[in-house]
Amino acid sequence: MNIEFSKIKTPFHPDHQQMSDLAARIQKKVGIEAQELFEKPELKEPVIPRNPVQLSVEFGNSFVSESMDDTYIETDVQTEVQEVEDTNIHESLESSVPTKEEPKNELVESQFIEKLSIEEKSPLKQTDETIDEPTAEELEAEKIRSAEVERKRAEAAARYAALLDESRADYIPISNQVPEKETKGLPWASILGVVASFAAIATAWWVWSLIQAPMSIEQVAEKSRISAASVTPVVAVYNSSVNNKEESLVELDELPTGSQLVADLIFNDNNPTSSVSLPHFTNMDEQSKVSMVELENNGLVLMELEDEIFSNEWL
Amino acid sequence: MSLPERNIVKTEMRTPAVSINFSKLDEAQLVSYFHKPIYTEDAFRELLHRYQSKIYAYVRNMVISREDADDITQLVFIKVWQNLNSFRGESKLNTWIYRIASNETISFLRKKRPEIDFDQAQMFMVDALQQDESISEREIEAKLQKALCYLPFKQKLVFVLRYFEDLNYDEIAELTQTSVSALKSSYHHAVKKIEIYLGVL
Repeated sequence: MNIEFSKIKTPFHPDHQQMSDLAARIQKKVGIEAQELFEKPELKEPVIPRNPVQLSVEFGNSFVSESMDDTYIETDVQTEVQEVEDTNIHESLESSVPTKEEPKNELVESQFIEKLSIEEKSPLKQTDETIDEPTAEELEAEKIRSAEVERKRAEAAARYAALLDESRADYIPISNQVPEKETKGLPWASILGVVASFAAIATAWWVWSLIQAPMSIEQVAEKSRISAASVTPVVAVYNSSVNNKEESLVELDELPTGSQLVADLIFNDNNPTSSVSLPHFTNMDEQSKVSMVELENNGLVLMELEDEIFSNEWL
Repeated sequence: MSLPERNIVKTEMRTPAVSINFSKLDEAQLVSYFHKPIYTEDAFRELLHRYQSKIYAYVRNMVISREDADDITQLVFIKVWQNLNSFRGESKLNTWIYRIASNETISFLRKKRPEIDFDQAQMFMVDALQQDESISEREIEAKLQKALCYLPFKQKLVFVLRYFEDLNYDEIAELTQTSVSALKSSYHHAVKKIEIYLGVL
């Protein structure tokens, strides 16, 4: 056990009287007037839980309930009183219907009558006054009053129901509502909606294409193979078009001299004439001679000419 | 028991013109008011009000017996009344009063039991503990008191001042004229012994 963690108190707790006596003795010993130094602790009265018992006092008769069960009587009376009060509220709702103002005394008396009838069931003790048994006349009067109260309750309930019916007329059910008239003109809202949906689809497709992963080399090659097969008819068409173009080519003799030199290269992919003789060269036009020089410079033609031809005029 | 007369010029005690609330004074102010003849008695009563319960509880923890504790407490405050004029304020008033209480306790036990050895446990206090009906209600507190009886007196004194009276080691060192390290060691051993005793008892 760790005594430092859980501190144990000393059991020596001197009481007030002991300390007062000791202080008085000490003061006397030192020769001074003994005074009360330690205040007496205030005695706290034990708190007794009290259950509230309601007392009812009406019309000078005080009733004290003997047992706790009697309290339930009060609640029953209160509910019945509440009902009477509710009828009064309903009466106040409408002002057009002329009603007799119910005198308050009758209401209170009705409460009293009800209470009396309930209290007869439970043994209540009367403290001060003794109530004589009611006479026949009084009983009849009470019956009349109770009948009047019930009649008025029924009238009030009927009036309240009528009020509710009137108020219901202000509310048209949804099924009976008149449909709203359509406005003239283009349905801009629907058009805008369609446009917005297309825009959304396009945006989504664009975003989807961006986020697609790049194709690998194998995939590209595979795709190209596939595309080659699909391209063959195109090539065939191209080839046919090329052949047609060859048929429509100009005859060799119609080409200018300079172009004739490279005709073989163009048509047959053969190198042009490898050597050009002097007489042939001298008969060429100026443009062809320039072309011959270009060909020789590119190593395509060998001109077998005498050196005197290549004068400064040409260079 | 007649007390020696104090060197005070006897004058008619006049009621002070200004009423002072002694409960709000600190220790130094209380001592200064004690030095004034007009306020001596009131200052002493305030001092008694503040320290009587503490000193009684401390002494009771040391001697167990209620009667002995009453006697020792009376002697302590008589000593305070006699010597407070010579108190110079070098130490705290609290510490000074505890020192008087410790010395008076030792002196009382020596007079009552001349054979007592303060380096050994005081087993006669166990009997006094068992006879005291007031502490039989709380078992753990009674067990602790019984465990304290098995400690040497000096070790018990250090433990009581530290554990119950909440004095710090500097104050206890000044009171017992012992070093702080020795006190810490003594307290530590006391705690260990008590925990063992509480496990056994």
